[in-house]
Amino acid sequence: MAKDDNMFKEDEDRISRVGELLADDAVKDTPLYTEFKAFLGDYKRLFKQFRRIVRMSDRQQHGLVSELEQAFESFIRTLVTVIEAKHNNTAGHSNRVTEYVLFLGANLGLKNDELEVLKYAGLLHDIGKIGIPDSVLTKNGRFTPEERNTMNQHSVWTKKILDGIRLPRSLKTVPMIAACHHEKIDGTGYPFNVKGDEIPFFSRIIAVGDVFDALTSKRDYPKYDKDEDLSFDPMSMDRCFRILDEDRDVHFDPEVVNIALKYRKDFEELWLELHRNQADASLKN
Amino acid sequence: MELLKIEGAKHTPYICFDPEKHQLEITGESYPENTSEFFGRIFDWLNEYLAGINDETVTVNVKLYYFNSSSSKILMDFFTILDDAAADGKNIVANWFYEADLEEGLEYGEDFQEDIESMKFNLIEIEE
Repeated sequence: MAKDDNMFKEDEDRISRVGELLADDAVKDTPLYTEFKAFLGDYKRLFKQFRRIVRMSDRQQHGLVSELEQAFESFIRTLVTVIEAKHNNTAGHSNRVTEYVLFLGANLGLKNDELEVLKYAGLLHDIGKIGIPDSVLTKNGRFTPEERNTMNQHSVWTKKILDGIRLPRSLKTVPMIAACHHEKIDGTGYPFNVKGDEIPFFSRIIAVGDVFDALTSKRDYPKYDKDEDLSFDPMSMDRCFRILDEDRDVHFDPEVVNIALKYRKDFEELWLELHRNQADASLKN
Repeated sequence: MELLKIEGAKHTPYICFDPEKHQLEITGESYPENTSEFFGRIFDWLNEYLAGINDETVTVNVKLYYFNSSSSKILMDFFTILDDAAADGKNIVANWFYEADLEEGLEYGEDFQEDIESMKFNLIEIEE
């Protein structure tokens, strides 16, 4: 409570000074002295009360804000779990992407409030998939061009849905960041076909986390490396990091890829931990 | 003297002041739109009750989780009235209950306890 003590120090000093003046024999035994002494007693009591009320009020506000933040985050996480639950092979995708982007963001030197934005954009980046027909969303195999076009609409849906939420002021950029996670640095991505610095920086971080998870998890769509079709199974780490490395300046922001490669060992450990947690959860179910 | 009972609502606590059992209870959250109006009749009841008791043991149980600034001022006044009555020889025990996982709960109790001189004021941890 050191801050409180400083905040009220001038008032306390003033009370002390008045107390010292009243201790002077020269001012004693007058009606004004008696009245003022009683007044000072009341003032001291009220001042003490006021300090405690301010202290309690601060604590109350802090407690309420924390409770609201926790409720908001758990609601968002549950919403994401519900949406992913109908699609077995993508269950846990958004949560893993969020962990990857927070890892990249922290190593890029982002501040806590920036990581908070990144967290919600990561959690919500695929929320638009709720707007995609199941026949496309859960298709087991490669998409036709029409299906690919339909599937690509999920980014537009993500923005539409998130624009409708009254987000806290600090999270106002989340809808655009989430909507741009399929944009590519060379401008060939979607939905807005923007390139380079036109793509929000946090979207460029999510792009790396999103592709990393798609390549290193079992999915319904086959993976492919350029024109080569691969299996549905997780890709080897060596091949995954090679793709990230080769696609810098084409798909990915080189700064983000550099961080992924620089901290590859820790990144792989995070992957292992997340997949171990998911395997444990599956065994329990 | 009649029982004073007010059911808890979204912004106001449950109040049950039982003059026969000599138990006064305040539980819940306190954000009244008009704090003075809500607590006004409680103070009227309390002053009348305290004037009419002798050596009975009065137990005051308070379990409040969230309360606004005006409610904390009201609670300080509430405890001051009880403490003054204890100083006059009334037998009063106040219990401040707080949840184990909310450390602020204990601190609130300590804040209210600070000015108490004559009344017994217990801080009691509860598991939720």
